[in-house]
Amino acid sequence: MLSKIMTALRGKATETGQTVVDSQALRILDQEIRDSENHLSQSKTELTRLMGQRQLNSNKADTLEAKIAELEKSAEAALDKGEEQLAVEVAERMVALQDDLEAERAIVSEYDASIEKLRGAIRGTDNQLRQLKQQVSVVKATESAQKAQSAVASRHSGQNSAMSSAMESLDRIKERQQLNSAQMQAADDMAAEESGSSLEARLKAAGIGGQERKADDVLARLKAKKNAPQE
Amino acid sequence: MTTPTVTSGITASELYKLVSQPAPASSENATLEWPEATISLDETNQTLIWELNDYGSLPITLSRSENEWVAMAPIVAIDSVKNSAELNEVLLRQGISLPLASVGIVEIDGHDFYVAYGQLFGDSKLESICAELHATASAAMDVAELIQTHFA
Amino acid sequence: MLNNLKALFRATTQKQPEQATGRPVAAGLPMGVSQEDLEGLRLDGRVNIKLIGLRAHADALFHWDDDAYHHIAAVGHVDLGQGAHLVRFYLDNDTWLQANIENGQVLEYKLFDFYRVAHLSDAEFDNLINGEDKQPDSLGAQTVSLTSTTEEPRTCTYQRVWGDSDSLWSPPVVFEEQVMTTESVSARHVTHHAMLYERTILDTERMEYLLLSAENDGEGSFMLVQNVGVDVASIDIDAM
Repeated sequence: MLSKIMTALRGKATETGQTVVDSQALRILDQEIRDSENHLSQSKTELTRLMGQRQLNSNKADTLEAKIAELEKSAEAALDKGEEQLAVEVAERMVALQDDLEAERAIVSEYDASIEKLRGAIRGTDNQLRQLKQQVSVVKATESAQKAQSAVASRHSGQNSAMSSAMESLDRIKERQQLNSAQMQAADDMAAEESGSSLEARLKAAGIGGQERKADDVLARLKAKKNAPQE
Repeated sequence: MTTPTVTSGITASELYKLVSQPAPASSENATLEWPEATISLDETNQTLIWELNDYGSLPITLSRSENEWVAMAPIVAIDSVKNSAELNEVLLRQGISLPLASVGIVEIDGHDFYVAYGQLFGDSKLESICAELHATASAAMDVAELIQTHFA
Repeated sequence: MLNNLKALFRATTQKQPEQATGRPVAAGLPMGVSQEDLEGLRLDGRVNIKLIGLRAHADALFHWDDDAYHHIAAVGHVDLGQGAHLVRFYLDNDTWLQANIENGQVLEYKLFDFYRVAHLSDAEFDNLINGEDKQPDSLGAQTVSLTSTTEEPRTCTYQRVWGDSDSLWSPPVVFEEQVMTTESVSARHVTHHAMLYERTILDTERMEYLLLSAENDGEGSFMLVQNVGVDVASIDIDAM
């Protein structure tokens, strides 16, 4: 099956679009399935016929066997009564029937061989059919997946963004990791700096400390004014 | 495919209903951890699409046919890869170590892509389907990493 | 014994100028039964039957010549309903070979001899089939003794096969027979009131049968026929 698809692929090498190849593959598979099903149906009909024929011959063999046993008793009875001639005639009939019996048994054996062979072939075709049907199912599912993926991709290309694939995802993840990493590093740094030193003092230096300075200035100016000679 | 025919198991539409609505506490679905995603249904193609939040909207598709589920995630365009012949051999040899998923080449929107994919029987349990989705996403990421490191 | 067949032939009037050649060969056979199913037996055909073993058992009343080929002069068909049929091939030696058929399959063959025939008035016929007199050895009795036609007569006793095994008298089974001959254009109808009896042939596992049949041909003829018969295997029948 795969080699048939390969041949189809080579033949379509100049054509674009995998959908062409897939529908070719499906056409091939569908035809194979139809052929297999026909073959299977014919084989099963033939099997029924053979089994019917075998049964007829088998029944005849059984009848012959029973008759021979019955005749044997009659031959014995004839001998008991001293009727030799009759016994001989009966024995002759037994021999004729015995020949027939062997012939019937041989035919039954032949049928048995044919039946076994046909059964094997039917099993083979059954297996093949099962496999072909599964292949059709898989090809159809893959085709659906391609179409769905293509639909998603074409949405992206419509928006002029890159198609999402695992590669893009990987990049995004790494970016995010780096970003997270940087953020986490910053948080770590901050935590380290802030522990053990005078936060208060720095805060003062940055903000609240400024206010105190101004007040001192005022106070100092007032004190200076108080202490300064009046002019 | 407007009328899905499935031999056994549930259809894509039925699965979509199951995963897009909050599950009743007692159901099998309640304990399953479907991937975190925006889930949509492409009914024409009998496919569910998970756009994974955690992976920058990586689209994993889950398609239903008569006997199978097929999960698929795109990895990278073949054209972006250096030395694809060597990569192909590596993937064939190492692919076995990827649980539940395989790597293939598939045409998407006119370009050939490496994809991660997985196949399940149509009558698989929800548990198995869920596991397959996670495995396919992981495989896609693993192979992307491999390519980025050695073949980009 | 020849009376029976002659009676059948006698009433065949209306001989067409063009005759016999266009006769369907499966004449007289039930639907779904072919000549092949019946070992090739057919109206106007010939048949040889081998009963060689029987001769070794002197106790049997039934006698038979293995070598002769007999012409099949008439074929009778009885539809018993529910897929059961009897087909009777009447041979030129006043014997008849009966095939017992169920759903297209031949179950068994029996070969009968018109051992004795008695003509009856219609009153006697009515008494007989209704068991008015309930005579011993009469139609429907539990056992019937038959005295042989041989030089040194002996008597054999047969046990009833059909009907209620406990009752002293059981009503005969009634069935219609359609008979086609090589000469007739349409079938003749005979109504049978019959009862089957059997006995084991001494020192064997073979059975001998006695079929008592009170027959009404619908044209004023009433008779009681005593048929003696044995089982025949399909492989013992050679028909052409």
